[in-house]
Amino acid sequence: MHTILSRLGNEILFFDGAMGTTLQKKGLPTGELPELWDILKPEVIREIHRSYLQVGCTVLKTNTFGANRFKLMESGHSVQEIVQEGVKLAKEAAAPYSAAVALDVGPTGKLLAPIGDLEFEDAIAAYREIMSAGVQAGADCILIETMSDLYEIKSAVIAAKEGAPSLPVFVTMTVNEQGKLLTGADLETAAAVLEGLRVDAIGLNCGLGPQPMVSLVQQLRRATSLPILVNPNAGLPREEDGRTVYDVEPDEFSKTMVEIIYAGANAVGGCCGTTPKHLFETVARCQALPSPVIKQQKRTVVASGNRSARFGGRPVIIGERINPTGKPKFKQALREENLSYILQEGIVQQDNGADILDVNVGLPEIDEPKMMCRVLRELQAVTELPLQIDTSDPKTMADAMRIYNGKPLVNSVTAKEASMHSVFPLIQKYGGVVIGLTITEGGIPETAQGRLEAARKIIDTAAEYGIGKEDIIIDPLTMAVSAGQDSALVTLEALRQIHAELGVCTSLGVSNISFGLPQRETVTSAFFLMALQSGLNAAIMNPNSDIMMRAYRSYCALCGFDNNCMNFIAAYSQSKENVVSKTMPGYSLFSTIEKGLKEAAAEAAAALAQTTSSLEIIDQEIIPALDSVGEKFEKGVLFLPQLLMSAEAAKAAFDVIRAKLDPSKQEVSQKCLTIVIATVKGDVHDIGKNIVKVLLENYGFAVIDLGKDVASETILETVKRENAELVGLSALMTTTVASMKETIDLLKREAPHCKIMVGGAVLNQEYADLIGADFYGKDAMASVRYASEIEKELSGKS
Amino acid sequence: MLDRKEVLRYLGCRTENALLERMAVQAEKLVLQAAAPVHVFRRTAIRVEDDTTHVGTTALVSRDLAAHLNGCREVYLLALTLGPGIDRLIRRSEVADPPMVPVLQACAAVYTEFCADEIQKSLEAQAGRCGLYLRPRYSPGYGDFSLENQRFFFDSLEITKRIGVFLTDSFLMIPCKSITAVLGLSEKGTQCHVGKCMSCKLNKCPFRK
Repeated sequence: MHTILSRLGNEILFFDGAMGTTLQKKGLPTGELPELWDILKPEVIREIHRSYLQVGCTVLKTNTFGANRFKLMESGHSVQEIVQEGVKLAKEAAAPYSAAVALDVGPTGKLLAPIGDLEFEDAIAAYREIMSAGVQAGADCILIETMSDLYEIKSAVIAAKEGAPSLPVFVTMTVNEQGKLLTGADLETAAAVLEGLRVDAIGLNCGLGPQPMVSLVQQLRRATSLPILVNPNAGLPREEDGRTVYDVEPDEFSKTMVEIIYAGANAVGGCCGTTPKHLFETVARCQALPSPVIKQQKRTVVASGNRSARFGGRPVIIGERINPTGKPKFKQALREENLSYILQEGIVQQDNGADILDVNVGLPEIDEPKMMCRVLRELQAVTELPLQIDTSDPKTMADAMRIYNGKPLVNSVTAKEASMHSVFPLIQKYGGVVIGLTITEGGIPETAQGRLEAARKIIDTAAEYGIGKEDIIIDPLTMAVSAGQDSALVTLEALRQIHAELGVCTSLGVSNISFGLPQRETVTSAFFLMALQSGLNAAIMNPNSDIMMRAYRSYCALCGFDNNCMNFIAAYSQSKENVVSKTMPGYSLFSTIEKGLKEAAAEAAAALAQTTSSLEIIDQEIIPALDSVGEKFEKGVLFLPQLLMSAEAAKAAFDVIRAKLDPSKQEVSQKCLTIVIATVKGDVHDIGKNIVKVLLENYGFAVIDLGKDVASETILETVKRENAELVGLSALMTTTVASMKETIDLLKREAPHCKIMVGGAVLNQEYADLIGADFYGKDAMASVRYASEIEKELSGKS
Repeated sequence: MLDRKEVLRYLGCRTENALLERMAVQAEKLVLQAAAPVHVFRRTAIRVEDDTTHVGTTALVSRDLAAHLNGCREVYLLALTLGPGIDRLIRRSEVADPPMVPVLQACAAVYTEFCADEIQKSLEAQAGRCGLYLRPRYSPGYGDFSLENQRFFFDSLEITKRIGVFLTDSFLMIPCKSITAVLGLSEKGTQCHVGKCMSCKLNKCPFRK
């Protein structure tokens, strides 16, 4: 075992104190990168390292915190150069003291996509460069510190494993007093993700002084089975005569560090504002303390980047609706890359009580790995729920597990050798809890005993990969009761035996039970209750089914999983009978659209379709209603939310009519205009663009939305490929109008047939003229009007 | 809690509108739930010289900023954010309930301004205790004080580390509901109230008060 790892846990390790604030005291000007002093003033760095070694520190942090390609971009020095120099200085200082050297790696300072503008793989590449340089220079371990975003931590840890596989990796995070990371994750979530990534120690640094960290370390100790490392600030920073000062004195600091060790820390040191004096007293007070015993927690936890779901307490609901099997509309959405439809499926399930969402996008004709990654990424931007990656394709599974933000639930592995040897290495690398189906080379065992043995095989083989049974959930398989009289009983018996003999969590896809029967939910909900009673920990099911959720919520209330029945009361206290129907009989389709009543519009359209042709409905009701609303919006009588409500109502009516259409007859004239819209490169604000998209779509246009921060080449490429006649560009700030102009220039040169409309807070008509746009849309409605004009011109030509 | 009239004004509506008000009530609840306002500030000395404001070793070149800070020897640098929950809330609404998006957007904007005003009041009180007067806040992007100056605020307040706001390569802030500003401290109270809209040169802005 690596020396530092064998020491960690047996003795208290002492990391050194502050580097950055020490350098400021020594004259580092604000705005200058501290890491440059590795080259400019190595004697100062050496001196600081020595000062910490002399007081008894056993691990030095290199002066490489910000040595990444983004921060060094304009410094004239390479990452390689600074990291090598930084490690060299620390190693030279550490040698006479037999101290270890930790390659210090801080955050990039950038936010990862999809919310921010740094792509996950670019983050990994940037970190890999640091890690490779560090291992080459001879660092003993890697300390990824001051991290506040689990997704960025994941990129850094993957980079460490790929760039410096031989080195132990420690990660410390910066949290607020409530123990939350800036992105909202709590310590249990962070611990789950980091344990999944197989880091060697976790902990806290910076942000807070030692006192608030005591209770946070207690919390962390309960959440993790890893050694804990704590490097607090010397209190909170305060301004005094234009200087930043820290108030916690060495005496108080060291006394609190004793408490931190009692709370469970196995290694301690200091961050901003700490000095050799702080560390001297800390070493003196803590040296003789035994390293706290690390209790194995063995919790079964999955997580997103913001929150976690734990198995073994209240049964967990895994929403099954994001899956194309048997759903023609979903298949169509996948083929058309209509992500909104898929995301809506996620949001509705969350609102109805799902704890985790299953994501399956397997369809023979699509690029599954690419689609899975896109859906995960988009879904994680709208829901905090942990996700279950559901695929039988190894490449999809690998790609998805890599880019997933958090520790995923993985569906699934079987007891077949090939399956296990393909899935377990992925769990080992990226972390995850995997659902083990009790299927062997011989098929599904018919007896409970057979399924128990299959489960045992999965658990034993996982152990060979260093995967504990806490990261495995066994699914003993639900078979249709219509096909075998005993099938429910076998499954339930297997469930009981697996719990009793293997002590592992379980799940079932419960809906299968009723396959082939009428009134399926009646049987499914009864089976669900029986399975819960037999100890089931999680069910893959439809949370939108009222009868299933009633059974579930009743079970939770009856079995003590619902404190004071609060969840049950919240769900059912308002009797459904009292809810006023949203349909308004008597309203014409025209007025339901005008009033923005979505459900009523759908019903009115359905009623009208009994007697009237689709074309008539569209020309005489829907379009005039939309026009009337549009006019009122332009006159300032109606406002944007109302315009959008009407557009949504019109869309609901369109959907009803489309569903009734006979595809062999060209009843409805399809719009021929294809529109590409995007927020230009450099701009990450896309609310306005998204509103324009909704409106254009609801007016029946085919819209290809390229998203935000889109390069001009991508826009051109799409215009050419899709033969688009209109492009809509959005920019919010003056700084990004330049990139809008660039895009327009490129399109005018390479695709001169294509019209360009622009919009966004910073634009006006003069500006739009100046950058060569064909049209300036002052609001969302204006863009619809312009698109209609172009449409008319085109249909006139054809 | 939020000024509902102001929310409606952001939506372009200056009259009574029962539907929008109902939506605003709902949006306000969601925004307050999703928001986690945090801020960081620092008091620091400055020197104004022609078009340049010197802060430590940094020179901020902007005629409008210099005019705004004329007569001040110190400033507060301020950054605040409602946090990433708002971005997620709006993104979610774009998918699940598009008509709510502009209303959420308006509520979040009003709440951001409200938080900034509250912080400003407390800074004003602090300044008052030292016998100083506080000027209204001035942000990168106003007048000729270009957006590139965000970098200065991010470096000197350690904004990313302290409150979790990130700056993109094109100087935009994430989470979207975030503000950076400089507030001058002067020994004399100024008679002229430099109001939010009054000092802005976008005369045709539809949201102008």
